[in-house]
Amino acid sequence: MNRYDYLAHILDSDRTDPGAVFWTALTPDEQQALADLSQEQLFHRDEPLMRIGEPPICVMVIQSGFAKVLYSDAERTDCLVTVIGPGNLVGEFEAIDGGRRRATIVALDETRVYRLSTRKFLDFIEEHRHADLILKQSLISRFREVNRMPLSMASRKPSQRLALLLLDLLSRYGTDGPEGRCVTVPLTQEEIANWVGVNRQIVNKLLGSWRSEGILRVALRQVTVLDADRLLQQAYRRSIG
Amino acid sequence: MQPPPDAGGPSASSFAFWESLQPEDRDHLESVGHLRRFQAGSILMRSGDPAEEVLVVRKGVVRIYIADAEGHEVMINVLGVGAVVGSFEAVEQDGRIATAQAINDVVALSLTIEQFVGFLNSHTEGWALMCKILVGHIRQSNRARLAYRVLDARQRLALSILDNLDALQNYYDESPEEKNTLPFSQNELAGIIGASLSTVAHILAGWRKRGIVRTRKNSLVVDDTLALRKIAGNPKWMG
Repeated sequence: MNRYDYLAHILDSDRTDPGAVFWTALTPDEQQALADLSQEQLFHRDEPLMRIGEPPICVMVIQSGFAKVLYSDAERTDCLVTVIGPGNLVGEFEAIDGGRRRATIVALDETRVYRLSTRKFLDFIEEHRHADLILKQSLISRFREVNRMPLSMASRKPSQRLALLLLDLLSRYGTDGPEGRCVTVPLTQEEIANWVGVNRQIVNKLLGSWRSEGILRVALRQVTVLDADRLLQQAYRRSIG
Repeated sequence: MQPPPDAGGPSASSFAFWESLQPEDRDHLESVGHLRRFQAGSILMRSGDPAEEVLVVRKGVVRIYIADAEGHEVMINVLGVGAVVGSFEAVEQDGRIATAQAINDVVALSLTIEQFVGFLNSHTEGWALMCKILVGHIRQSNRARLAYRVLDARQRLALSILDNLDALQNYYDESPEEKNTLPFSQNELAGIIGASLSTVAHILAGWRKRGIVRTRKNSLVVDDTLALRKIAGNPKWMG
């Protein structure tokens, strides 16, 4: 299997990522039990769900909307490292290892979560064997996920980097529509530029040309992937084989 | 001051499964398992193979490879005495996630998946410990990817050499020469930092001239860690 086939296989397979869908992998009884222990909370765009350095007092499950995960570097600029969405568990790492928050997580649109104390979450996991298994599977899936992004990203062209990141989102949050698998994410071009690690002009140019080719639809704070196959070609243009 | 994410990275202790067990638990595992020996360079387990056993490293050092989205096997970690290898499959009971190869001669305690799961199930802290180890691995991979996004190839190479040397320090037996030796080829280093072989060879040639490193066949001796630290620029999240 060459590299192109490998990513295509991931995108095509029915294997949904248990890390992204912790919530939907739970049984209806477990969902009800977890909801009963939780408070519903709504975050508006740019509101932080949690901040770096805070003690790990709570765990959240995203019910709708997306959020960006930010790390701070030495200059205190925020590096956008990933985007998370519906079904994602948030803050479970610190629940497990007891450390302080390592990242800041900020709502990208209207993000609705169930929020419960770390203690209640751990008790819930202890009392529900199946949910416990899902949590462990979600950890392993995260382990796979972080290692899936090639380390050689740094030495790739911006177009390849952007294509790979969008394909990653598609594999995690894509839904099947009449024209195939697609995903819409509420990211500004500024945020995409931060994520890809290039300036905004380059992102603007790339999105513009992909839009005119029908690969994407771009609206205010919204990017919709329409044609995964052609995006895949962009990711590996001149580097197949 | 806000704390850096993943400050200091994984300490050896976060992966030291064996050290975290009670003496009676170690005795128990030693009585049910058996010791296996692997020669330097041999494969302990291969990605995709059926997962039948879990290995606890008792002597030596192992490197772990995992396939990225392109199907390339990239070295992501080195694990040494006390670390458990091939344990994540105890959860999914699917094929092997990663490939493990012996760097030097390795002795490992072999347990069947059933024995290992049985042990974790019969101890309240067993699974919690496994989850902590798993989170440690994820954080480490995250950290590597973050660092590699904002650093240039020279910085990435310096950082990666220092990181791996640090990890090995905790694992090697006494031997001053060996302590500064990184048993990786230039090709492997290129894979780890996501750069081309020619880039790595060029950077190392420069460092060799300045007396920072000596290059050998399939290994690297570091003579000036301070210089490497300066080159890496000590990014804040490194602690």
